[in-house]
Amino acid sequence: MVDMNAGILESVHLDDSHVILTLDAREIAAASSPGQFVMLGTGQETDPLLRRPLGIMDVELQRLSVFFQVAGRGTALLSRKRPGDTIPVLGPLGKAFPEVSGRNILAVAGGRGIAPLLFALKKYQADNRVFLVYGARRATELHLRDRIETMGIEKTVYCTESGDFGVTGRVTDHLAEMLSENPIDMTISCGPHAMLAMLAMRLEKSGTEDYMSAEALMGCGFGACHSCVVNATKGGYLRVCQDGPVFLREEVEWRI
Amino acid sequence: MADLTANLGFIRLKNPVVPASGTFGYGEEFADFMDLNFLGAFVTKGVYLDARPGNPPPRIHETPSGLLNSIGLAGPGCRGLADILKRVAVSTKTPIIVNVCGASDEEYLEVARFFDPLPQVSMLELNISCPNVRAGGMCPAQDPGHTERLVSMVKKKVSTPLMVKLSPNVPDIGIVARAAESGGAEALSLVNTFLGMAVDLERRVPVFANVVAGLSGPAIKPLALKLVWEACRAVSIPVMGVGGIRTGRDVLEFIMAGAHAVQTGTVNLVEPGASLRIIREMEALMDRLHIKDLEEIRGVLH
Repeated sequence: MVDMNAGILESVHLDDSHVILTLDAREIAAASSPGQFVMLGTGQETDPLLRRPLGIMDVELQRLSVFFQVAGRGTALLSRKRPGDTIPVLGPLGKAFPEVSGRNILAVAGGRGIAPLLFALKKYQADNRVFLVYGARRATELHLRDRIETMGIEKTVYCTESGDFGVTGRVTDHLAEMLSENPIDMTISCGPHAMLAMLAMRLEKSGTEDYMSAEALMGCGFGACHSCVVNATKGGYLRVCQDGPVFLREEVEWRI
Repeated sequence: MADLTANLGFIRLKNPVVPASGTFGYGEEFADFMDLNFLGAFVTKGVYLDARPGNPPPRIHETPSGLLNSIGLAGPGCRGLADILKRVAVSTKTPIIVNVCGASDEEYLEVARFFDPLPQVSMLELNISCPNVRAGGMCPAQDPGHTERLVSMVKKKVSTPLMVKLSPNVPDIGIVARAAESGGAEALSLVNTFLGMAVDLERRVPVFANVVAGLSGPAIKPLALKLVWEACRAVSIPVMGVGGIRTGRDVLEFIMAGAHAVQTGTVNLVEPGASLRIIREMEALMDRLHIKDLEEIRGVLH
């Protein structure tokens, strides 16, 4: 874990509210694994007070990229950062997806949940067969397709609830055929909580090993404040920042 | 170079900066960011007799320059903390202060007695002021009579120095401060969080299940400073000032208000290395202002 000031190398606005921010953060980039996240400082002085947690989308030498949607004041401030600006970055934080080889891995992404999975797919594709189901409400929310197309993904299914791109429906509607047509033995997933809850239910009898990346309102990001909890299957709570964000499906009560 | 020593009488700290309970985990969470040996001391997250899961989420809500929390003292209980302390004490000689909680007077006493004989514990901080456990944010520190009885009962049974953490949610902090002193407290720490609340406009409900929550962060610093100033006038035991501290300058302000030392809180969650930065800033500022030691400026506002 390193806390550093990182320069902005690039800020790419995909539309009004979706941004790829690339930072010059060699120490953090070098230590990062897929599934981990960083906490980004957003403002000047003390307002907003807290940093914002964002999954790592990619690292390349000293470059570390995150992808986010402008959802509030903190992310709005981040979206206005320009090359040359400097922001505080803490990371890499949290548990990563496991290092594996020779597996048949299905990635299931909902909306901007695609970002951390891109980093995972990039790592996994070298020594595994990888598959992807990626859904959103409509075509304009299926971001980063250009990056997906350049990867060695064996089969990609895009789905939209509106039906204006790919197949119609949600990712969970197209899970069964992906599992039955391909020898999937492991899944990785990231997306809205409701999607993960539905996915967890559908995967219960699939016989796959399932790693799910959770999202939560976060305070510190490194286990000290106990704010970002989810219900643990064995009772009590788990901290998303420290015990996750990547959990085995059966560790967490994914109920809505 | 300025002398940063904070002499509380019963203990000398190498500097007055002490990360506060609930904002510093058990110390080990911060080992990647600092050598704990550079701190004056640190306070562990509040502990009850048994392990507690804490409150249901959401547990925090951001406010302008502040943070509302309703964590509910999640923790591993006495035995769990004892194991952690053994581990942490291997890598640091910095005094460890254990924050003692209780749902009843008897539980406070039992927890205090559990940690009293442990060699890793330099001081006990009796947390009679957590707003997030009982309904409506009530706590013993809101009743001077209860405060004195409880402190006195615990003090009779423990030999480890006892600091009592006070609540800001009282009409007269001086009265409660004197009650804790009469009960036998060797030091006071104040303030715990201010009671506040937040609203979920869409769902038309309070953000927090417990309705009220504790406000901390830079937003409360002027309020805390005033209460520390008042408490220092009321008692003759040492006071640790707590509330919104995030710079070396803030520390010196609390010392001038009469505090012997300070606790850093929310800033530790935002910037894990903050306490060491604050110590460096304080030292540089003392040199610039030609302050040779803390006693020179302590309580000059009185």
